[in-house]
Amino acid sequence: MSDESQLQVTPNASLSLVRARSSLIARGRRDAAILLAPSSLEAKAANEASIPEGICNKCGENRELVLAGCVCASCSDALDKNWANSTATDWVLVAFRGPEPPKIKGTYSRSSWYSMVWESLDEGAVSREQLETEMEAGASWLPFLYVYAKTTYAQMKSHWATSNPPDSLCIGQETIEEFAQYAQEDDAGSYPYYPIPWPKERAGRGDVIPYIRPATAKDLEHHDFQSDPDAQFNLGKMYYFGAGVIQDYGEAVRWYRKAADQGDARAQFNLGLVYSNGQGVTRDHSEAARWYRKAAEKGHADAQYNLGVACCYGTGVPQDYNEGVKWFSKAAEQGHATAQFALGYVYESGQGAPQNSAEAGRWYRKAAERGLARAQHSLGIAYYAGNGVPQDYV
Amino acid sequence: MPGKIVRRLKPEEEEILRKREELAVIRSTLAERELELVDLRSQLAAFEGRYLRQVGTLYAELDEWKARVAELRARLTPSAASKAQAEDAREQARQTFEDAHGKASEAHDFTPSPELRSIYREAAKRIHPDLAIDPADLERRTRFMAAANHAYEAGDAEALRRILEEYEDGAEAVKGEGIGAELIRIIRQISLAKTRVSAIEQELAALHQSEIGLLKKQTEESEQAGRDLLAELAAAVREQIERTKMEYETLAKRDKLA
Repeated sequence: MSDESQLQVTPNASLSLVRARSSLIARGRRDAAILLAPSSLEAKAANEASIPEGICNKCGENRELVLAGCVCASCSDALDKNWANSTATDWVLVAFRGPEPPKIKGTYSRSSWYSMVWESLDEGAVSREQLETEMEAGASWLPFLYVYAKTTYAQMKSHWATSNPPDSLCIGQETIEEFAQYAQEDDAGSYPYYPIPWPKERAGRGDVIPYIRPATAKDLEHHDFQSDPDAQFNLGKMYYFGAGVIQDYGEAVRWYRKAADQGDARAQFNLGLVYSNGQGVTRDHSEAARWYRKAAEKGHADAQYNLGVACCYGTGVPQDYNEGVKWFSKAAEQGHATAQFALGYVYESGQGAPQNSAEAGRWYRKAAERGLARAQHSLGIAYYAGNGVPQDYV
Repeated sequence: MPGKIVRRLKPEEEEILRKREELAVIRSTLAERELELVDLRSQLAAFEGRYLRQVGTLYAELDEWKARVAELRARLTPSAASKAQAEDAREQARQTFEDAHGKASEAHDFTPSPELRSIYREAAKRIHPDLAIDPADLERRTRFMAAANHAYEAGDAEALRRILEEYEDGAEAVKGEGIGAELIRIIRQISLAKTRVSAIEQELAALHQSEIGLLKKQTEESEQAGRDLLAELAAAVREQIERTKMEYETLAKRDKLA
């Protein structure tokens, strides 16, 4: 007992030993809580005391580790079932590591919501181009927003499951903005994306559980649409009808035009429509006719009919019955009921084509078979009068 | 028939016997608790050492990378905010490194032998400072108790025995003046010992509830479920390190382009 310095220690030496480095230990505890969060209700019951508090946004009851905008595992299952029947065709899946793009072209695309986050955080320090370059360089630390356009829920899920088998799917409703907020709250790098308890088998792996929700127009907008007329067209439609977004004809026109410029017939037709109706643009019949013609030349039946009407009435184009009948015929051949009726009328009246009762009756019948009331009426008259069809009072 | 002569005890003598007994009981409880405390402390220290070596060093590495990222960011987009962020990150990295590689990380597991435990128990019973009768005694007991604790934590039974003997040799035989004084002294010792027992119990509870105590408990619980929490934690942190490195590399690439 010669060493006096050792004797300075009193048995009452406080917790100082333990208190030092407490932040480093607390950090481990936080991360451990995430690792230990139970993966099933059973484990939850057994482990009640150590479950981190969190309230499910949907049922408001389940105490599980959930994020704002997210839901607990049981609600997630319920939503999963609901969404299996959803008719939504655009989905968003957020995950760190994703599957390779599938073989079917146009159903799947990947972009980064993080770009928006980053830009908002650094006040534009990073341009989108730079970010995209980095994405291409394979910066795997960025979580990805997988946009599945024109894909059913089941297709998307099976694609994901076959390419990157998830243990469970968390389904919630949060928006890009909310994600951005998490990223800001994120204490510089500890990733806060643990929508539901971490499954044991995946413990320690850095990938986030895929997170699914129907895509919003905003998601679609942030996606790179320059090369995808389908998506541009869909987005235009969403704005036109106010589906999931605030109705905005101007935006609708903008997106229709993008798709139309790339030769998308549906978009060209719709662009013709907005010019005819003056929605989001000044009414301009010649511009409308121009777009109808483009779509019609691609075989778009509605456009062919509308162009036919324009030719017959001379709205936006010089009046030309022959031209009109030509387009009516094309649309009618494709089974366009109104065009079939119009063609019947043309043959009945002899305007634009030689009068031909038999032809008129034939087209009226076709249109009537398609359920067009006016055609059924005209056909009735034809039967009554015996014009082009055998007279038949029954 | 020789009758057995029994001297009737005076009431104060009876009282003193009772109190001595009570003191003996409380002394062994105290020794028991003291042992429990010293064991828990060393277990926690050992666990903390393991945690710091296995996980803490990785946190230090992670913070180092984060600091590098922040510094590179500050260089790429110079502003007061980014500069402050970089400085904070660097300070954090330094702090974490110190914490993770400090002395505490050297603590290793130790399992005291039953013999060592029993000697310590005996020493605690005899030497405990809370049984002191006057300031000089207190000072002496405190010194010996500290030495005993030290020897116990070092697992040195021989040293512990020597300390106990040395203490006994010098123990003062002074028993005060008369029964009344002794009674008062014993009562005071009992009261002090009780206070100490409850203080130890509070400290034990506090240790169990401390971050490190809870982490240890979680680790043990997950061990029963067949998991290795520290290894899982380490893997999770490693993953974060990888991600941060990746971030650093992408930034560095941009730095070269710029």
